Amino acid sequence: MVTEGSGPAQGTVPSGTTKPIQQEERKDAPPARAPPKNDQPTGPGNTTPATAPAPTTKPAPNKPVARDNQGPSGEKKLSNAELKAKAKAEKQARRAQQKAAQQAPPASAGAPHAPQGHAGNEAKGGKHKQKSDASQPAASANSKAQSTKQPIVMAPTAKNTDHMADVPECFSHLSMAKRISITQADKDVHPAVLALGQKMGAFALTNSTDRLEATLLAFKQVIDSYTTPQGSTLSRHFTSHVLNPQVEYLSACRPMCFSMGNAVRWLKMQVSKIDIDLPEADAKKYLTEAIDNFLRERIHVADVVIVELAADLISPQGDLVVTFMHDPLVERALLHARLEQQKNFRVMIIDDPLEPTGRALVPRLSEKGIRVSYVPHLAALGTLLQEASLVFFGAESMFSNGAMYACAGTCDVALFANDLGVPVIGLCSTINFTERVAIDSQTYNEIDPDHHTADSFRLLFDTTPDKYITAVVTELGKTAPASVPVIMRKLEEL
Amino acid sequence: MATEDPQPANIASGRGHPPASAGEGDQPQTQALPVRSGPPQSSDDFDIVAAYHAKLADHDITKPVAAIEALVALLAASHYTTVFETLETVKRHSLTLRASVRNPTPLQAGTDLFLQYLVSSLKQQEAKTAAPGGGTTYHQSFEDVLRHLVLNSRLFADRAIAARDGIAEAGCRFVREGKTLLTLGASRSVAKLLFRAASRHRVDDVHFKVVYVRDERRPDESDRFVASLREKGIPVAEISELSISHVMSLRNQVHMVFVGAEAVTQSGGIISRIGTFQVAKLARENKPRLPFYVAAETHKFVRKFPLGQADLGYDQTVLDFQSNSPSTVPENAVDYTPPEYVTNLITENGVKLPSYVLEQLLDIYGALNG
Repeated sequence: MVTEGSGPAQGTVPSGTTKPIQQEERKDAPPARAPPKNDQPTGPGNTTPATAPAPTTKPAPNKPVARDNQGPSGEKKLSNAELKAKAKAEKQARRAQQKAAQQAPPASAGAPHAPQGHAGNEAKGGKHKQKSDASQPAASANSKAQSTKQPIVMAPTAKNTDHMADVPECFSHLSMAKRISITQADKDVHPAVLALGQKMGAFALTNSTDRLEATLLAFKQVIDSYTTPQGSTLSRHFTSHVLNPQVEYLSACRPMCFSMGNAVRWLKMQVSKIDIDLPEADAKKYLTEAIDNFLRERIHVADVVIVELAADLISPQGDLVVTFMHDPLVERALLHARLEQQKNFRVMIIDDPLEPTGRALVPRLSEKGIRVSYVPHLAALGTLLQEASLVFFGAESMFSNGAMYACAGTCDVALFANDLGVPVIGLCSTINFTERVAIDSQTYNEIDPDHHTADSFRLLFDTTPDKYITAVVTELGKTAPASVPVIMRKLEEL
Repeated sequence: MATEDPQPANIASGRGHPPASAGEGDQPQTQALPVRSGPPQSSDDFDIVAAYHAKLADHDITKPVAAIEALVALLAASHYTTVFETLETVKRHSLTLRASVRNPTPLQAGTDLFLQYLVSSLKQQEAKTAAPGGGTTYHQSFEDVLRHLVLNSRLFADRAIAARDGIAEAGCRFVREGKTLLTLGASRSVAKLLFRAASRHRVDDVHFKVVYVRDERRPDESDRFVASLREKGIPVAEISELSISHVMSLRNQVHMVFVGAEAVTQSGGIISRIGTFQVAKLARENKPRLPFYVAAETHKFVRKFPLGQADLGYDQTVLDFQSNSPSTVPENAVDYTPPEYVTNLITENGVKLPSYVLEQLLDIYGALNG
């Protein structure tokens, strides 16, 4: 990030520091720019070069307006030499950006916003430049850009697969989150989804429930801004032409979690159930309301019930509750037991040394009067867990054979706890259940893009077999892990 | 709820009054229940606890069924005009009843089931009368439900007894020729199952044997149980609690274990008289592993999920440390046997895996948050 500061790519420099502002800009800007983009194939070709400065300079939203004022006529006033100079400057700027983008992935969350200056400008404008910088931006450049677009887009993805090439053959089936520059996204991807994809790719949103909620909210915006084209109906057109590109983009950014898969399937079902004769406005209203209800029932209320049930498991006096890493449900359950139920207990947070998400939980619990001990690694588990009376895990998902899919390391803790006779409790709302079966941690997993070198890589999840789990707390109640399929069957009936 | 709740529906549909069973004579008050006659009584006067214990005096009646019958008697004894009032009273008395005993779990099975049955049958009536449209049939239907319930109060007990026959039918095939089974306690279900198995043989020529673990603290009960088995011609060997492991390990001497349960938890485990867990553990650790069968009616299924022995839902002080006086041993202590020790549940609906309990509970209640 520092190196690029000197370059003309001013737009990228503050991206890390002024992240929120950038996001706001991004939300507003893309729709504004969208129409010109769509006009390109049919409109006069010279409008395209004019859009180019927009991404490279900071005040992005202003630029399109200026361009509109100039119009095609303003364009012609530039001499060839001027155009050349301008193109050169732009090329430099772009180079710097590309450099920044390449450096970005190893850096943390702020990085993906670097290319966001491009936002609405999106594939065509930028790409086109690359080709035609030396020559005049002739009208023909447009068609040229069309034809050359493919290979250029491919190049960065090829690089990504190269990254995967470091992974040993036997793990090559596993996917990894990757930073997809916004310029490479499909043009149908809605800006809200673009932003969400970037967040997920950068692990700014990690928890499966948070990801699910953000996805559904983004899809609500997609539905809001959707207009059924002439001669089609929402129920026939929306899923294949609008929803699917969003889903593809999201899963390209980071593999979808099981709950997102469930929700997408549910949403497609809702869309397909809409009567063809229903007016578009009503259909959209129906869908957004359905999403709201879904969020309320399957996430918000479910979480409240789970938190209460889990808090009930803590006995009023003297328990030592162990948890692994940070999970919002576990945190809420602990706080509920402390604040609402006035229970007096201690908490031990065991953490992953590579990704110490549990550390931030320590002050949050201790300031509410819970005595917390913090273990930053998995060493000496057998000794540490001897005093424990309960172990809570937040589960990413439950497989239908009762196995629990959760942060890597969960299985180790569960195994030790089970061996010592400590009840192991998984917290998981039923939206996270999947009908798939996993008997090992390799079939379904994800590679951590932040800890990934040619020599070693880290998996994000592991699978805890049902025999190490005492109970799973869901919004339907506490169940034995072996009863997960029963609950899933019940959910289908409901 | 797509399917009909098997339990309440069975009870409601009622095949009329079956022929008088053994326990009928002890329960004259059930027949003579005043059906909304006499002055309306305040429900607070009704002694639910006494009613429960009166019902329980019947040897054939299990705790959940006694609780249900006590609640039916409560409805019969008082006069209600609204659904809400009825449900609230039933709820309140259920809590009173549960609070009055040390181990409320078996009672919870009964009271929950009854309440759910009441709610769902009132709902059904409502739907039925709402369809024809107009009129004040709703009030009547509510009355109908209550009257039906009170008139058929004995049905719950009869159903429970019939369930025990179903268990015997489903389970007796496990008791094959030449096998020896081990049992303890005085489970009526297990007794009936053994009688049923013995009835396939001539009295003087029964081809299976029973090892009975005597409860030293209840010699009378043990004597009665053993005597009833011997009466049917079943060879019984009585052993002490201390020799279970030894007997099990004798090669080919014991082939399986049968126990009853006070309550079956939603995990598929059982809450049962103390000592059951011990036998389950020994059976599992034995080489070869002995199958551990639990004979329990479905009305004993309860929405409860103990995490372990310390989480039975009530306080029983088994450990009483004293340095200069004898420790007190709790009466009627229970333990929890986790589902992994249970080979099969033998219910009136057939032989089931422990996870069947959750399925059944979800069918009846829709959710598990009791």
